[in-house]
Amino acid sequence: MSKKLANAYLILVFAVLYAPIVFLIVYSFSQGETMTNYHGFTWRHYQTLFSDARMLAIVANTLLVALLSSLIATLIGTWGALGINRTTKRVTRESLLTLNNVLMVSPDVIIGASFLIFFTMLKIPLGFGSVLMSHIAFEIPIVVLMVLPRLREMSSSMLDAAEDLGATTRQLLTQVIVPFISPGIFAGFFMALTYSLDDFAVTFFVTGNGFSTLSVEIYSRARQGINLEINALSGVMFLFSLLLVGGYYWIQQASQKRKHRKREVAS
Amino acid sequence: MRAVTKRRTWLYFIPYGLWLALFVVAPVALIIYQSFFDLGHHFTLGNYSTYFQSATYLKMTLNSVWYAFLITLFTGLISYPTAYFLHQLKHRQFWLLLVILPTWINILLKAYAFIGIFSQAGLANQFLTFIGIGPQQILFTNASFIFVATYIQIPFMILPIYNSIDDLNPAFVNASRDLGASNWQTFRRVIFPLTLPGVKAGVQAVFIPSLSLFMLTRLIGGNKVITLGTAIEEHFLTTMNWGMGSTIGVILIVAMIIVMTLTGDKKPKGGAPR
Amino acid sequence: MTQPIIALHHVTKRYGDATILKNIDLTLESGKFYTLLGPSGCGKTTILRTIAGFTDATTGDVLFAGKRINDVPANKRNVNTVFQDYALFPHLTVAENVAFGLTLKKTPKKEISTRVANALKLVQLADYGDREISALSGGQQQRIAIARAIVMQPKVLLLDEPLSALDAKLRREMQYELRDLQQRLGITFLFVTHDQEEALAMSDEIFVMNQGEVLQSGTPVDIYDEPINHFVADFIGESNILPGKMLDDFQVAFGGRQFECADAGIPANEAVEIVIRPEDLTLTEPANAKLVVTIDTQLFRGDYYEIAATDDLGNDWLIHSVNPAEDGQSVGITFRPQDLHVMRFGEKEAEFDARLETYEGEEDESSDET
Repeated sequence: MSKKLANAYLILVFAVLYAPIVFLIVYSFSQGETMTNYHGFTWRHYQTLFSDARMLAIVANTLLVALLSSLIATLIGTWGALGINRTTKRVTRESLLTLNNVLMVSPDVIIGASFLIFFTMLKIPLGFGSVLMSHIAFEIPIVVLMVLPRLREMSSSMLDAAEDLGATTRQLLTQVIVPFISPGIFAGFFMALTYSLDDFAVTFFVTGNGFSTLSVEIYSRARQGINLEINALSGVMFLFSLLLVGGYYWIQQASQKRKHRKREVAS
Repeated sequence: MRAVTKRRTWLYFIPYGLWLALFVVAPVALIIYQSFFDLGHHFTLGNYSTYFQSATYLKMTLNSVWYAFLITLFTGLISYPTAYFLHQLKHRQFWLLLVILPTWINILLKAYAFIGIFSQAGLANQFLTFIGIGPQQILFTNASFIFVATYIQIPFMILPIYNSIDDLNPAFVNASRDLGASNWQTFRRVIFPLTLPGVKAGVQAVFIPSLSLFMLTRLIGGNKVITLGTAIEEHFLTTMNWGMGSTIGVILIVAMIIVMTLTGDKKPKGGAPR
Repeated sequence: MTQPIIALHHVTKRYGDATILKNIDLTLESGKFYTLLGPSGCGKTTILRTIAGFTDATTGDVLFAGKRINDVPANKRNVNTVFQDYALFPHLTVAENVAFGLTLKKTPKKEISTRVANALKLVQLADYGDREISALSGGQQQRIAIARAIVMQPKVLLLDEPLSALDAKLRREMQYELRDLQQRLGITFLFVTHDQEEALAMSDEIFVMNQGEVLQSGTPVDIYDEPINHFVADFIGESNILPGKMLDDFQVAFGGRQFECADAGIPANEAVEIVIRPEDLTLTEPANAKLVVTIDTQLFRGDYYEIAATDDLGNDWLIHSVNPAEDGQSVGITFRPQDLHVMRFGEKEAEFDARLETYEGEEDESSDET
């Protein structure tokens, strides 16, 4: 009985979680112009979307910012995580981690507003550059947080072993540490990518007039009311998200399996 | 410690340290600095005195905190049972993935969906008409703002709670049952206290963003609810009063620190340095 | 005597206020199996890490074949380590793990593959080269860790409690194999363990350590038969340790009676401790016994009975006997004079050795008679 109740509850929660998404995508195929009453199937909104040059340019911008910022953030973040892992004093390490997490817990508006002041003071023009820098900035901490646990998992005796077998500091890094933490690096990269694609508030503050990302564009169009081209866009983005999630979980699963097998053998 | 590891550690901190300085420390310092300047770029304490003497600002702050509290409360009430039941499922990893999936969809698209659902002739009103209540104004009300905000935050609350339930050693539950506790007693006296860190983490993840969700107040709340976030956005991007905006920003930062302290982990962190 | 391959001279190690190693002097000869034995935290692993180069000595010299190597980094030392948790690289296959050090040295590919194959054959895992580390059992991982170290052809192999993670049966097997491997390779093994059985079974020479000091060194038989003090006697094997008094050379009193013993060179009337191993005690009729005890309880250990008993003065006795006894029964126990071992309080190893020198000959004669 209680089991059934639990399942009913879960079904309800999942229905509510997915209703808006399903709703959006269903109406992206509707012949009408509003999200009321389904008017029959059509690809029309997708055609409009794919012939909307402005929208396509914005999609390209968004992807460029996302990929470039994630790449740079992954490099800096991994390098930083290696540094944090090398600190021996607990106070140093804890303060570094606290500083690292400031951007993780800060509300988006604060990050956006403070970056806006920062760029204005340094006379950095708002646009692609400022958006890219902001994205790199708020992606770095998540990369650090994804890489650090892998670094911690690395037993110190493994590093001793490599050194014992003649590895120099450089070889230690390239042949042992980086291969070992690579799942963490990939996870960090993917998380950075999604943070970038998902961000609205920070970009909204530092984007200026000439440059726009998808989130900002959706916001300004949504304020003007319903436009089923946005539904079509959400259909495409949902598909893209699925691919990203798939990729991310594939990596997680691969590293999990490895850990699991090891545990089985050990026990 | 080994001489080899200690050498050149600072090299690792060049790009990362630069980032810390430029994008973590400097912006926070700048927003505090800016809060002491008026529109004419003169140093002043006026922004703070305005803030603390103005009924509008104080009421807005109280309102914002109250709404954030409601959103957090509802999110928690819905998420805890969800996480708990989810953990009992067979393919729980898969279902958990399904909980996470909506967070990968742009928040604005989800907000946009609710504009459609809550509109005059939308799905929600069709349902209300169907059960005989008749169409209501749903969009641009406080209730719709709370509903959508709760909807958006639910996964961020489920995840930490689920993780803390997952960390719970099942032997504790068995021990409690063994000592004669009923299901409810076991839950109240063993499971819930031990999963409290997850709830706290969830509160952290939900409450602070709820203070600053300015796009939702615009798109769904119809500017009826003004959160701290909305006020900051307005001062920075509409009225261009950065000094006042920064002042509210500082208030928000203080609120954030208070929440973090209240929900923080009081246990001393274990683990000796290597 | 040949040149020692490893020597520690007055090595001290401090972390802050804590002194981990106190003035350690230690020499290892080429081609022998040495064991550092002691409870956890006694500093044995620190000695190993000092020789491997993972830890610096605070003061003192570490010599390798006569040369001071304190400042040589670990990756340039001709010693290799087998780690307690094996420390195999999970992202590499078995063969890649074993080849790791050779690859770093840019050894020709052909040579690497023959040497890896030989090393794997030596640890009896010749066909396992392509496997993932995670697909191996604990015992197999252990062998790969050994193969990875010996493929580097070190002069000294350091083993840090390598058997501690294995189950009892496998551990016994590996004891034979390690001993066999050491003799085939002819290199020096320095083995660290807290398991006295392991140490006694495998070593040419044992260093017993406690609280950062080497208390006693010697062959397993010497250390077992003639422990230098209470700690060593108690730590190695099981023993009955009783307070006593030296009466004269070869005469000692304890338990209210006088006994003949095999120790000399101790001033008369000095308070001493007497060690008797439980397996040296024989149950007999009270009439022809040296001592009479009352049986408290006994446990069947498979190949013997472990009997706990008390004498008239309230001293506890532990007796290993092939035959069972009856609880509450009064029985006699007997032992030979050379089964008694007298220990002086606070005697250092050097003094102990010097004292032994003075009467060793006489003792040998007397023990030959029995």
